[in-house]
Amino acid sequence: MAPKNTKKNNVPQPVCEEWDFVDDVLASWAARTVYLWGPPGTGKSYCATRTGLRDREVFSITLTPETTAAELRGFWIPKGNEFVWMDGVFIEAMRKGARIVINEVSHASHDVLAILHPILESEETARLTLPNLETVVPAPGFQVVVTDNLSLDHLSDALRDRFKSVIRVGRPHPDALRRLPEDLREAALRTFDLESERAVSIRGWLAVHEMEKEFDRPKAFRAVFGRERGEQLYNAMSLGAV
Amino acid sequence: MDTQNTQTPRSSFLPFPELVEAGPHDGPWTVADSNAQDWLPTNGATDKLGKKIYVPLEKGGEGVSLHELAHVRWSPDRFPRVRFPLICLQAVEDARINLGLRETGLPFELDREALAHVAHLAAQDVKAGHLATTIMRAIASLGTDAAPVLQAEIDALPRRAAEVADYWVRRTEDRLLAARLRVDGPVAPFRVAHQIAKDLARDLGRRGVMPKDFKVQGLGCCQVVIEGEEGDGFLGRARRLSVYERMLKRERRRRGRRGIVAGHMRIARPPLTERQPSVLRAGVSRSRCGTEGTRISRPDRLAIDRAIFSRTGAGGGGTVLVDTSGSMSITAEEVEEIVRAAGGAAVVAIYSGSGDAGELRIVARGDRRVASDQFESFGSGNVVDLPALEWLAKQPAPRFWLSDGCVTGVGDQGCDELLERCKTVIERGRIQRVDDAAAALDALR
Repeated sequence: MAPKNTKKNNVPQPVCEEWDFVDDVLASWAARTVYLWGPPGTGKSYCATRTGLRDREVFSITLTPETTAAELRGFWIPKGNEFVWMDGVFIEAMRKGARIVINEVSHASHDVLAILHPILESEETARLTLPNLETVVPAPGFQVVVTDNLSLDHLSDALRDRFKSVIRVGRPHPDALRRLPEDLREAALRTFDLESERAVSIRGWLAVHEMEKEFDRPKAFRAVFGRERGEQLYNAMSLGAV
Repeated sequence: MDTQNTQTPRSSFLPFPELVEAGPHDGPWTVADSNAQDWLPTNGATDKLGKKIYVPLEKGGEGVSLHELAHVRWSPDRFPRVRFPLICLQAVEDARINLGLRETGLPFELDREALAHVAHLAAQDVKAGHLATTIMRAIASLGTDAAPVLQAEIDALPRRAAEVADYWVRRTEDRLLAARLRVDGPVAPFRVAHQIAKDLARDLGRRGVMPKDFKVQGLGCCQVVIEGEEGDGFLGRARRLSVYERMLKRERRRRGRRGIVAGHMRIARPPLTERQPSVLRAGVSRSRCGTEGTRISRPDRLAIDRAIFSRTGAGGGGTVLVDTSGSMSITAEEVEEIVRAAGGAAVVAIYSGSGDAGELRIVARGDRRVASDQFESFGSGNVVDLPALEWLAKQPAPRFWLSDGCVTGVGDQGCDELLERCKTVIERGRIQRVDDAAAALDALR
């Protein structure tokens, strides 16, 4: 199915790719570095950690402003009378030729962004020299998938240039939608891309579906969204079902 | 139980017409606060063609939201041209959807203030002898908890007038309910409402109680026409508030019952095309723990995360929000200087507004900033101080607010309630206010 190009308020929106295409790209050996972005709660992290793995291991990390490069690269730990080197998650993934999924790169500190540069290099030049003077070269199959809600614009030119594939997703993941009953599925498709004050991600609808196993529907909405917002959503759903 | 409206965010009262509209979903609706729209004839309105809905975004406004959503669901996109006063059709249409809401188990209930207001308007009409107005109001309230209030006013009319009013109120309800049962649906078909309105207008016209330019204060929420716009099929036109209504609004403001509302804020993210060097020690320098270093200050963390070393780093974070309204007299060059001095700060944003809306523009993030032409102010007033401060409170600390401390809302007007809400946000968000550009530069250096 061709990607959708939509307009909101007469402003052209970026083209969104379908999830089948995203799965194909993630499974491709050529797509060594992938930037996957889109509205929150659409299944980017879910897809990045599950699809197209081809027997690869997956490591996942969510960045915060407090995440240090040492956590990702490695650090010394005391063992007996000496300090030994412990690989961080990046190095571990590089050695094993695994996929590393990096979430919320927009929250990364300068420390972490600096270490991303050598890791996102091409196969020929990607390498990292550790404090123990060992140089690590990524094993075949090593793949970096970065997910975020923002477009590439907030990254530096050098970092932007290092992504072989940039994909925007505009719809919730079909696996997530399949878990919802039909009425909640339709509601999810109609509310995930609203303005930030009103947007309801697929997580919210999945939570309502789970809550309905123990509560009636009005209480499920109230438990998930709070009294006022839950009432607004419940009333709208009830009226729309009539 | 929370009884203070100020504690519940406005976003909690936003309705979802997208979940209600029939047919395929073709884009979001615009939701606006009706309290900020002086030109609206009622406190709720729906424009189906423009996909706009106006509702009061406050506690007690849920009933109005539900009523407007019912218009989205059941009312036609546009009313047909009619040869009788449109208000008759609007009143019967209101009755049609209110009865539908009642049958669906979602009755339209007004809060105490709104009920008192409806009773007040109805008593006014009865006192002035406006029979047609009383009938319209009573018909529009069918299916709501205001119906008994209007019935009491009808009972207070002179006998002959009361008989006419009673006849039309009961007949309208009976015909709508019978039509609903015939189609076995939640509401009667619109054509039935159209016919009832036509019959009603003819009868009242024959009795000589229908004024020529017939309008009813507080009715006519559907098919609202924005001032200055008129499309095919629209015969109604929103009117300005009457002198009395403006006095009532001023009085409420003076007593602080409604107060000034904050304007609607848009967040703009222009491309950060220019690079700026990170300024050493920009922001607040702070000590950080890590797993490498030369100075052991936290041996207690050895067993937790091994971050036993500490080092003092350059300020690597923080957010600066600059009020660029006219009262600040801050130039684009000064804003640029602040951005340069804050190089390395997490975010720098400017904001201003006019009328009932404003914009917060992110002009720098980390080592990147916007082009110089983006530093120009875009509004002469504040208007959106409260949403701007709420945004700032969610950004990385430390948080600086460059402002003279004056806060305003819609119409660039201030009030005590708005000021108190802003103070609460400042306190909870640990926001530091600085008076001018020089003070901001000192804090950042």
